[in-house]
Amino acid sequence: MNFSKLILLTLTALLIFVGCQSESRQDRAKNTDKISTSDSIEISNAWTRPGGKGRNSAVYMRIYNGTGQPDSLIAVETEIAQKAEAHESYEEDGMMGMRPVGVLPIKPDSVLKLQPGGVHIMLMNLNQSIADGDSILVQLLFSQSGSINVTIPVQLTNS
Amino acid sequence: MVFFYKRFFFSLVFLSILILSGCNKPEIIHDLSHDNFQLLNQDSSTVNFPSAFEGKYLIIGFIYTHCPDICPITTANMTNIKNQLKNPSNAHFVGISFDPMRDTPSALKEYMQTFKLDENKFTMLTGDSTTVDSLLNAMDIDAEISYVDTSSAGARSYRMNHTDRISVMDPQGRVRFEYPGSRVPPEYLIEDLNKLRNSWYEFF
Ligand SMILES: [Cu+2]
Repeated sequence: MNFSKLILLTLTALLIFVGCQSESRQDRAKNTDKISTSDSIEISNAWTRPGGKGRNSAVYMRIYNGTGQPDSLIAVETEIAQKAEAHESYEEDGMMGMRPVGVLPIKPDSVLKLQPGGVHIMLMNLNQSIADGDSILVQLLFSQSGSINVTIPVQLTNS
Repeated sequence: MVFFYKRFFFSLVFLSILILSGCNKPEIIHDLSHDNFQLLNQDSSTVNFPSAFEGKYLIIGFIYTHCPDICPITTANMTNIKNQLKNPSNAHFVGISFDPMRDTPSALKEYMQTFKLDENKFTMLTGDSTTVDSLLNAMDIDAEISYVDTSSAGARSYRMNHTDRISVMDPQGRVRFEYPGSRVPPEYLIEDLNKLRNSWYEFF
């Protein structure tokens, strides 16, 4: 292999690599209509279900950890409910149930998905009713990134 | 001779059709046609189940109104099925609560408003615990209190473990299909339901 061929090959490889890189960025940008950022923790696709006063609701979102180091969601605060807690829906013996999941670790450059039928932030005993079209304020507390405020729309579904 | 073979051939075809359609005929999973459960709807009116809905295909979801995740998914699924059904004139949607202790008619009314359920197409049902329990039993639904939390104010709240179910009942009050309510794609249920609605053997 002569020298110019080698350069051509390297250039091609570099081009492909860069091409891939920018494509994945684009994909990421497409998936994250960013709501708030703090130290590169990115929250997107956040929504919550409607619910009457004294009832419960569930908050869903994507949390991307771009901090470059492990982080974890340790607590959730909100004035809208008596208590907010990370939960998961699970199936056991043919029945569906729910249980608290505690701290939720997020590895660097990875996404934690809170979604229907899985992990969610449960809003327990709503202080006031929330309806389709409203929005609520929730504070997420991370072990490394500290607290992040998120405004979350109340929606019937995520579509 | 030719005539004989022709007749033989046609009988064979007819027989195969009969056998084949027999195979495809959805079985009766639970027969409630001779049962009567006296329940209450979201307006506190008495509803005799299932006879009050005789002549309609029922899409029945099981829920409790304090449920924030699975039950709203099941309810949204029922709304999607309703919206995707082309001609739902002989179909009706029923939500049955397995938490009659807390789910009073007014709680069910509020639930319908919260999730924007069309009162012409949806009926929510509750009742006294004994009646609801025997209905759940007849429809093979399990539900139990799983977690009790007593707040500082002394208020008691609980969660429930429950079967995740949407059932399809025929106009005679017989359950013909059962699905995992929060997970079944609406198209699956609609395909089965339409097969049932369009089958000639359902007229016998
Ligand atoms: Cu929960």
